[in-house]
Amino acid sequence: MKKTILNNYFLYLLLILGYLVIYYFDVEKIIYKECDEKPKSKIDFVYQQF
Amino acid sequence: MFKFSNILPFASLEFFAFMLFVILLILFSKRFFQKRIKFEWIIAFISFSYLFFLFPKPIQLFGLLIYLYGIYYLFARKLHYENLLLPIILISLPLFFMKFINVNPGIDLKNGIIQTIFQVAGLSFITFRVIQLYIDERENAEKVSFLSFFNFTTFIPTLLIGPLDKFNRFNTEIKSAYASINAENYLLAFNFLLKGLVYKFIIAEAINRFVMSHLINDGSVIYHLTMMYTYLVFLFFDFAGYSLLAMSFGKFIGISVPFNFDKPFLSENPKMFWQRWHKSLGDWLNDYFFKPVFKELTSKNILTSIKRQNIALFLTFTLMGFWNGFELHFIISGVLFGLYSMIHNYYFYLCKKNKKDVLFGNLNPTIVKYISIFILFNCVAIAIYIFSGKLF
Repeated sequence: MKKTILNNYFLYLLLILGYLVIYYFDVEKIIYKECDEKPKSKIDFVYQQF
Repeated sequence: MFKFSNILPFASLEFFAFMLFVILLILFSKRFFQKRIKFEWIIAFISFSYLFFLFPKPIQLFGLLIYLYGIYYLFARKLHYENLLLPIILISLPLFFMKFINVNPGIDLKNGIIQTIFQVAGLSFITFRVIQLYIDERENAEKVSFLSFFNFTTFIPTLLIGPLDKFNRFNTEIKSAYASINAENYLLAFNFLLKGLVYKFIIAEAINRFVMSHLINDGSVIYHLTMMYTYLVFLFFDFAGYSLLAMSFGKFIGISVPFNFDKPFLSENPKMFWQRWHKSLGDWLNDYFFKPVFKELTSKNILTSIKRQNIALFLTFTLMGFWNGFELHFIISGVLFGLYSMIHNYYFYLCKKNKKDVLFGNLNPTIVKYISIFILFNCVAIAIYIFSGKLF
């Protein structure tokens, strides 16, 4: 069981790196100085109808 | 920092805090109350608490559920109504009304009060669940209590955007849920969670933030092509990620949720695609619309089998378009998917009739496979781009 959880090295790496780049350091704001547009996910898409 | 109101499933950190609380609560009840409290009541308590305290517009949602159960109870239990059409129309009425309002925002009924009543998050999926329940369970209406109806229609992981489950399957799952909470399933749930988080909150989010949000619409072909492919990949990771999170939450609390996505971009034809992309919706449409329409057309005995199939396919995907919304881009996207399926179905029929591949002849099957994947991928990209509403 332990082996299977730890086998997902690639996913863990993506999750940690992604978290740092997207949320912690908010690299988007560094690259694009002016960005007010909010991201739209599937849930946002559903919710915007209400 | 945390705001515990208007929380949609898997949309915020607060929801994941709530999810952890639910997992611990169910673990606790398995340990101490397994023999005293039925699992159905625990799930109902959790769903009710979530909907009442955290979900947007709880009163409207509860009103809708009472209305839908009332229709079910009246036609299935009291009247034992044979004709399916009237109950299905009544069940679909709130959904139809809401979709109609969405395309006619200028309509102001009683200062917006009517709009507020019908606009409930998750309405499309709840409606399809209730139609399925009515069609399948009207003969066994006695076993569908309000409790099991409530649990089925408001199961938190699948409430908003599926996957669409079947009542019988869900009921069997809920009955054996305590026994399904074990280390093996926790491991599976954890893997779904990890994959879902990466898909939805890392890959989809990165595509959105770093590419889609910054493409400048200058009306050029390059812009539309870039947006088309980017949106398709984004939608896949966002929606598949959501479905994986729903499967994970379900697994953690002992209830398996049907899978929704399975490498859809490797599909060779539209039929295969709908078995791999939003599979639960494809299955629903197949079972509760395509098959009855085809059966009805067959009973009339006026058209050839291939024509009947194609008409049923076209109507099924057009319905899917309307189900997404009455906006033109949704309808055209549905019609386009219908046309793809019709063309493939006719091609398959010609191949069978002529006992050879009428398009590729004797070309190597592996090459045919890759060409088919390429063609379908591009066709899907066009239909999904139209669906997105970014083209018009």
